[in-house]
Amino acid sequence: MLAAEESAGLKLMRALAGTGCRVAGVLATPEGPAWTLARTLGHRVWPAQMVRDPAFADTMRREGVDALLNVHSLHIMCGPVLAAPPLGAFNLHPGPLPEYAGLDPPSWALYHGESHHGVTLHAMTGRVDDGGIVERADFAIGPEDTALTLYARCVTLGLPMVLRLIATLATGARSPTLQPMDPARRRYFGRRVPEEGRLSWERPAAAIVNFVRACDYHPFASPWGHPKTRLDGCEMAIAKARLSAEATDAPPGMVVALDETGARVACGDALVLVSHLALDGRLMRPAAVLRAGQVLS
Amino acid sequence: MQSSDIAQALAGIFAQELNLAVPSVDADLLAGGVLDSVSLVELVLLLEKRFELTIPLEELDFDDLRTIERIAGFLSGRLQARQPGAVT
Repeated sequence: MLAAEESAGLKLMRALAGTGCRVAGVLATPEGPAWTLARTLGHRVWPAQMVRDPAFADTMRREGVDALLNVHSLHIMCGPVLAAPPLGAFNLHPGPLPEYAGLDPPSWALYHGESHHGVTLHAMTGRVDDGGIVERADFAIGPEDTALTLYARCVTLGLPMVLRLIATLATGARSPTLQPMDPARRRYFGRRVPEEGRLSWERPAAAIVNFVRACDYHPFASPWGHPKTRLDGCEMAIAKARLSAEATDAPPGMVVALDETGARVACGDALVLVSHLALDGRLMRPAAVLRAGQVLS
Repeated sequence: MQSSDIAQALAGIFAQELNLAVPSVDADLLAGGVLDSVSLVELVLLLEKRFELTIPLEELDFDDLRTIERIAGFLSGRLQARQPGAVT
């Protein structure tokens, strides 16, 4: 049985089609993309929040569910549901565990300026993103990576893990070897957006650029939105920025220069090149809005 | 390379490399849930390799991605701009 949402859930359903693996059913947001695809593929569907209901464990036993696989569904499963499948319940998490438990791990990793990120497949317990690790893959974060590209890489690396787990479970009804998580290394991140979603130009240029990249899911909507700044009382969002490696003694937030590549804006220690602003969900060049000498706050 | 040839190549990429069923070249990929976030990133990587292009994500707009025909038009424009002597 799958609890599936988002791109990862869709891709897993497509990957399982034609493999001979019996999908007992799919838990998904009613009428959402995963729900619709599950119906198209002929799977039974249940509303995703059923995993919170202890009575659903009886349904799972009745349906002969061997294992429960959670792929990017965010509902917290109750104990009886987790205990119902004889081969276990497993979760694919788009972050390295135990260091990045919780929501939006690609964004938090970029925000923190991490050099590496990862994806983890683990057995589920009653605690969010906790339980023995089946498999974890780490990868380097490049200077051009955004939250979208990190998320995509987590899915690309994570789905084969799920398929390997299914193959393992199918070979002899045995559970995989689990590596325990170190509780001392656990960090949990909730829904709160850092710095309340606002840029502080006094911060170092690298921190500004990391925050912008952490929010960047373009052309898709970002769960954090784009980081905001103000100009003469008007709010605008910064969609794309990168380091310019130019020192400055201009006050933080000042637009030092503008050209076709973007606006050079002073930060705490250097300039950043803001190449795109976001306005009404569309990207635009700063030159259409900003003038040299203006100060963002 | 003409836009219709690109559309045909795209249909093959969707079917064979992305494992995504697209009923026609004018089917809405976004409303139909075919092109999601991860599939878009995979598609861009495949297109960059296949057509030897660089496609910065910031230059993509949903309107360019809505159908195979529109993606083909977007690619056709970028390929023409790459031609020697092209006005950009």
